[in-house]
Order: sequence, then C-alpha cells, then structure tokens
Amino acid sequence: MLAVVINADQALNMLSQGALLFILASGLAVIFGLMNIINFAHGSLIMVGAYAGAEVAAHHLSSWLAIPIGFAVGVALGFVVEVVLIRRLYGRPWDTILATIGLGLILIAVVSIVFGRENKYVGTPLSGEWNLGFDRYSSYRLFLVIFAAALFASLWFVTNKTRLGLVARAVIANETLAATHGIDSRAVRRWTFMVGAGLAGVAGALVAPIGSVQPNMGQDYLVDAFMVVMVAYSSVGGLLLAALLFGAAESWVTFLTTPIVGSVTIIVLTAITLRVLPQGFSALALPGRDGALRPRSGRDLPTPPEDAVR
Amino acid sequence: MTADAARLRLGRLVAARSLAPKLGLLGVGVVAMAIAPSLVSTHYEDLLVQSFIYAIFAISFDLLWGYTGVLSLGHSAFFGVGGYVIGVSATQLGHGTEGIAIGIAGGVAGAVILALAVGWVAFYSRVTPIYIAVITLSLALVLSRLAALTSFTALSDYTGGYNGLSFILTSWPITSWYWLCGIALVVLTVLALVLVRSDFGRVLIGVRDNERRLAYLGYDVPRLKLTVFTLSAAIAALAGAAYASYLDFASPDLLGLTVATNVLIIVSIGGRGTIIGPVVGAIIIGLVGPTVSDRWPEYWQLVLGALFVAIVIFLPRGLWGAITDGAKTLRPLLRRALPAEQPRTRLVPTEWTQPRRARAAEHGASLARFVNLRKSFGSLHVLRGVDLDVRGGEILCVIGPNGAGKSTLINVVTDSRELSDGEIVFDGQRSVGLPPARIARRGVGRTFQGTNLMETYTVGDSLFIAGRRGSIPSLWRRTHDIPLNEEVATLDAATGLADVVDVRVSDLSHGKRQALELSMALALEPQVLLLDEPTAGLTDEERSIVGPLLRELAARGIGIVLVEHDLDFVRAITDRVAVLHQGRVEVVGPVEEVVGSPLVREIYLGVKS
Repeated sequence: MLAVVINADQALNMLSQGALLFILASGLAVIFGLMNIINFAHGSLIMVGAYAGAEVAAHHLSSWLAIPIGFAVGVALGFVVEVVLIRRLYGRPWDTILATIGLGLILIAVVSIVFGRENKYVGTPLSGEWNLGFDRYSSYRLFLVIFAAALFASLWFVTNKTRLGLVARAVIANETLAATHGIDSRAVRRWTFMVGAGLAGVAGALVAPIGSVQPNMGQDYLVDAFMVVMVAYSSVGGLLLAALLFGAAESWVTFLTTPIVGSVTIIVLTAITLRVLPQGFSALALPGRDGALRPRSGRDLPTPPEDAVR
Repeated sequence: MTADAARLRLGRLVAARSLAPKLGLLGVGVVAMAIAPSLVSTHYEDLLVQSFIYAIFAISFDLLWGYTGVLSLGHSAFFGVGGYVIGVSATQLGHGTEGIAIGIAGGVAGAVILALAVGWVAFYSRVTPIYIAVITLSLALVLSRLAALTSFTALSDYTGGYNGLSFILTSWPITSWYWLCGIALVVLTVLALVLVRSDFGRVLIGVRDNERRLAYLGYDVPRLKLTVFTLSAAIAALAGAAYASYLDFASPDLLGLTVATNVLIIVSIGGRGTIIGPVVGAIIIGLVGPTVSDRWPEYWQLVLGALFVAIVIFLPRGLWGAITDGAKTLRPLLRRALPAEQPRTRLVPTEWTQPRRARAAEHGASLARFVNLRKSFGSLHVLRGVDLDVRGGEILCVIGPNGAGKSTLINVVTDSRELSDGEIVFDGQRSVGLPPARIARRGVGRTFQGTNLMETYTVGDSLFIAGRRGSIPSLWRRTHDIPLNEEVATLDAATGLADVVDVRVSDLSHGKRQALELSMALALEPQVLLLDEPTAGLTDEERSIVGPLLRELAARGIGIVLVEHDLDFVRAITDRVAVLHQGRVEVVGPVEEVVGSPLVREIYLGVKS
C-alpha cells in the first residue's frame, strides 16, 4: 500500500516539507531553548522577512540577496523588541506569551498600513528542476533541503562545539552562577533573541517564493513551528527529527486527502505526542541531546504563580 | 443617624468590606443599560448586543484564566461549537422551539463533551504546564479548519464549508435581543461575582497561585481545573449560540484564532481576575472598535495591539485591577480620618476534629512504615533503600549532610507516584502511586523547605483553605469565622499571625511565613507530620515557640518526622534520630547515642575514628 502511494516525487515532497518545517521552526526553537520564552510573534517575524524578500524583488536585486537581508531585518527587529519588550518580562514567561501575541498583531497592522493587504508575488532565485538520476524535482525545494541541512549542522556545531554555545548553555543551566563567572547573561539573552528573530527573517525570505506573501501569512507558520518546537522541546536533534517526521506526515496526508486535512496533521500529532512524552523527543536518546539546547530537567515553564496576578 | 454611626459606615465602605460600592456600580450599569436604547441609534444598539455577548464570553474566559490560572489559547473552539450547533439545528430542524432548544442544548452539550475530553487529557496527566495552551490552540485550529472543509467529506453539507452557514432562527427586533442579552449579562455577572467571592472562589485562586501546594493540602486540583474548564466552555458555547443566532450566520472564523485572541485581549485589558473589568472592557472595545475600524481598520488593530502589550508589561492586572489597586493605596489616607474597624475575619478556636488514631495510651504504636524506599533520577540514586518507622507520639529527626536525600525522602512519601521502588504503609494501608492530595487526605501533612504559600491569599484565606482538608466548600457563601484547632490557634497567637489575618501572604515577614507554613500543615490535622527545616531563618525567640509546640503535638499522639540541621534544637526536642547518608539510613536510635556516635562525626566532620 505504502509502496503504491509513495513514489519518488512524493518522497521528495515529504523530505522537503520536513526541511522547510525545520527552517521555519529554528528561530522559535533557539529562543525557546535558550531563553525559555515562547515567542508568539515568530509568525509575524517570518512575515516581515518575507516582505523583506518582496522588497528585494521589487527593487530588481538578485533574489539570493533576500536571505541575508531577511536575516538582517530580523536581527534588527529582534534587537528593538528585546530592548523594548522581552527584557521587561524576564521571569514572567506567561506574560511573555501574551506580549508576543500582541507584538505579532502590531507587526501585522504596521505591515498592512505600509504595504497594503493584497498578496505579493516573489520570484524564486532558482527556477526549474534538477535531475537527480531517479527523478526530476524542483530545484528550489531541493535547495531548501540543503539549506536546512546546513542550518542544522551550524546550530549543532555552535551549541556543542564552540565557546559561544558553552556560554549560552551555562546561562540556561544557572544564570546566577554564570553571571558570577563574568558572563554577561543579559547580553547572551539579547543576542539569543536577535539570532532567533534573524532566523525567522531568513525563514520568511525562503518561504516567500513558494507561498503567498500577505500580512496574515505568519499565522499558519507560527502554529506549525510552535507545535514542532513543543515536540522537540530542547534538543537540536529532536527538532530535526520532529520537523522531518511531521513534515513528511503532513505532506503524505495532504497527498491522500486535501491540504486542509493535511494542515491538521501536525497539530493532531503534537497533541498526541506530548500526551505520551511530556518532554517531547528530548526524552529520547538523540544526537545533540547531551548538547541539548536546554537541560531536560529543571527549568520547565513554571506554573502561573511566578507571574500570577499580585 | 449619629455622626459616629455615619463615620463607621463610611469607614466600612472605604475598607471595601461592604458590598455597597459593588452593588452601586452594578446599579449604575443596569440603569445605563436600561436607558441606553432610547439614547442611541440602532447602529449602536446593534453594537451593544454584540458587546454584551462578547462580555459573557469574556466572563467565561476570566473564570478560567483570571481566577483558576488556566490559559486557553483556543477558547473560540467552544464559542464556535455553540454557534455552529444552533446553526445546524436551525437549518435541519427549522426555526421553531424545537430547533432553538435542541440547538442551544446541543451546543452546550457539545462544548461540555469537548471540554471534558480535552481537560481530561490535559489535567489528568503529568504533562508540562504549557500543554493546556497547546491543546486548546490545537482544538480551535482543527475545528476551524474542519469547518472550512468544502470537499472530501460530507461535513460541508451541514457546515456550509468555507463560506459559512447562513440560517434564520428568529425574526426578533434588535430591541428584544438587546434585553435578552443585557439581562443574561447582568445575571451572569452577578453569579460570577458571587462565585469568585465565595469560599469556592478562594480555592480557585489557590489553584492559580500555587496549585502544587493546594494539592499537598488535600485538594484534587485536576478535578477543580476540569470543573471550571467545563463550566467555562458551557458559558462560552451559550455566548457563541447567541452570537451566531443574532447574526444569523456561523462561519469558520467563529472557531478561529482571531476570536480566541480577541477574548484574551479583552480580558487582559479589562483586568484578569476581576470579572467586572472584562465585562466593561468587552463593552467599551465592542463599541469603540467597530466605530474606529470602519474608518481606519489597520490603525485600530495597531492601537489595540499596542494597548494590549503595554497593559501586559505595565499593568498585569489590567485597567480595572489598576483602578482597584489605586483605590487601595488611597484607603489608608482616608482611614486615618475614620475610626478603626474590627477585622471582619476572625479565628475561632475549636477542638481537633480529625480522629487521632494513636491515643496517648498507644504511644509508640507505628503510624507509618517506610520500607526500602528508593528514588533515582536517571543514573543518580538519591535514595538507596530507606527503612524507617514513624511512631505515634514521637518526634523522629532525620539529619544528614546536604545531598543526603532528606528532602527527597519527604517528597516521595508525600507524593508516592515519585517513588522508584519501595513500600509505604500508612495506618495499615499501602500508599504507593498516590498523588499528593490523596496522601494528604489520609492524614499526612508536610511543610516545605523555605516556604511554599499562596501569595495572593490573606493569612485567613490560607488557614481556612488548609482547614478544609480538600473538601469543596460553598459555591456562594464566604466564611469569615475561620474554625481553627487549638494547636494552630496557640501557634498563631504566640507568633503574632493571629493579629494579621487580613494581611496578604506576600506582605508577611519571613518568620511569619514560616509560622504560616507550619500552621497550614497543622490545620490539616494530620496524624503524621513531615517538617522540612521548620526553624530555618527563625529568630531564637520564634524557635523557642516551635520546639515546645512540636512536643505538645507529639504528646497528643501525632507522629512527627523532622528534617533539621540545628543539632542543639534536635537534642532539645527529639526522641529518636535517624542519620541519612548517601541515600541510606546509617543509624537510628535515641538522640544522645546517635549524635555523639563516631559515625555522625565521621559523616559531618570527615574525622575517621
């Protein structure tokens, strides 16, 4: 049955969908993993990155430029948001959820005011298909697979093999202790948020050519990214596994039924997975677990008392 | 009325103990509601009807989030289910009484079933706290996407798919809707206010503040959450049914994230945990929003978003919360001019009501037995087989260096789901795999290292809730005379807690917090009491109260397990001492024997003898 349903094209669809999901979720995962903050403005940051890509296209620049520009716009926006908003809410994770939901709405409103609500079309930097020997497949979607692999490798390398990753992990494990060892934990948090926002911008620039670009486009991406990050919980390896599995499942269900039913797949799988494995995939032994973005025990999202109404 | 009597009345008003200001406010609201239709155009009357419905939805959300602390990111699911079911009922059964009755009942039933299912999955498992947000969000998304399905299944024959479902249920004029929704809103507001001010409301606030501690006081927290979640879903479904039948239209948007976010924003801006704030907020936003956004739609979204963010950062209790907090800071100024009033909350000493199983005659009888208790975190073995016997009428002190597993021992005994292996027999009953609430109800009380309290409670609230031992109190009455057993009364009188019954826990000094911690454990009237460093941070004077009190409790047949570092304190009050070292009980015996033993010196000082 499976053999009949999955041909080479479909297999590549499943792979590239997983890769795309990994790219979309990575910025959210970095912020959640290192700061224990769920950034609900992630979808709107993706949207802003996509508009950056659209502006590049509108100025007839090379489409490849969209990627670094998306990153730069995300980082800059991340800096402003961290200073104005996130910094004031450290230790109030539930209020951070609310504030970032509000931020998302603000970004949607601003983009609607500046660029209007209509769809924008953005060209791909790579058109046509590549011949893989066994199949011909969209070159841009294959590029996304390569990009996701590179992104995974860099994230894994930075968190596990560099001094930067070590410092960041020290701050997560015990911020006070890290600060007494001369680590500027505020700077670590600020940079983490900026990088996370930058990755959202890159994701936006990368999806712009294959999706519709309009102010509300981020909502569905946010939901998918949020679900995958909840399942991955704290490890880079877990994020890759969750993205590949769920992306493949979504693609397969879409193929069998309709895109709407397909879009529900990730949500349903997440609700079930988290019920069975409260710590998500980080409870499994996965590559990157020892260099987890976040230690498994300890700093879970606290229950409301921390920022309960006083 | 004499001048004194008038001043006393005024004093009570200012002290906010009188209901008069709230009733007055409600009266103003009702009068405004009654005269509004004759003052405003049909356009605004229409907006008011929608605002009233949204206000009812906001009440349902505030009960759940503002009071119980459960954040549902997809509350629109229940709103939309109410709307769709009445729509389907109207199109399939016609718009007679049958269609309306089945539509409303079906919508509420549907929401209740969904809430029970989702709540059971979310509250009755050891998932992360964020899970309820994930699963409610998922529910709303799944339902709104299924409702938008136009192909693939026959579902769209009923739901109308992407374009929504138009139906006609009533042909009432707007004014009828105005009165129907207005009266429903007033009734629900009053009911909600009574509920949250009742003793039951106090329990809900405890869930929000510190659900873990509430569980250790014997409360079935998952059931409380499930109850409120289901109630909230039912009210949301009613609001949704009213909304859809007022507009004669149900669309996938009713179930979607925009509606879910709107109610979150309304309740945040109005003031979570205040009921009145969300109601007023829903009406104001419901009037201003459409008026402004007709002309400048994007700018209204911008302003609303910015206001929401600002409120979350600077006024977490919302606008209504800020107003009442402001009134509170003014109150002392006014009070100086007014006569002091007796506190309304009183502690009423009573007998110890729970049966004491080990009577004085049976002192020394075993109350609890711990056999081979083991606890591991991965490859780290914290408890490696602890055997202890807790006897009625004695104080058993557990000492040991840091990391010996003393707190872990208390944790696994009071939450035996955490136990990796071993056997706990309490009062002849095997107690393994039980959650904290069940163990607390079997008569095991505990305190926490440091303190672990409900911060927005008053001292009186804390003692009342602890004294209820997990039984669900009245849904409408509020108890002001708090029954308290003699031991707690003595402790509270000696430590000065009795003088601050109306003070918020977050404003207490460290010594009083420790005293409250111990009082709450005692108010449970336990047979076995586990104390985790109850004298840490206390002054010598305060300490000199605790020692004799513990002796007194022991003399009444309670078995006490005390984790303590202060060896002088241990010497003074303990019968037996157990030395815990690297997860094992190395030695148990009378205090002088153990404290002076070479083993203790070796463990504590590293001296080989």
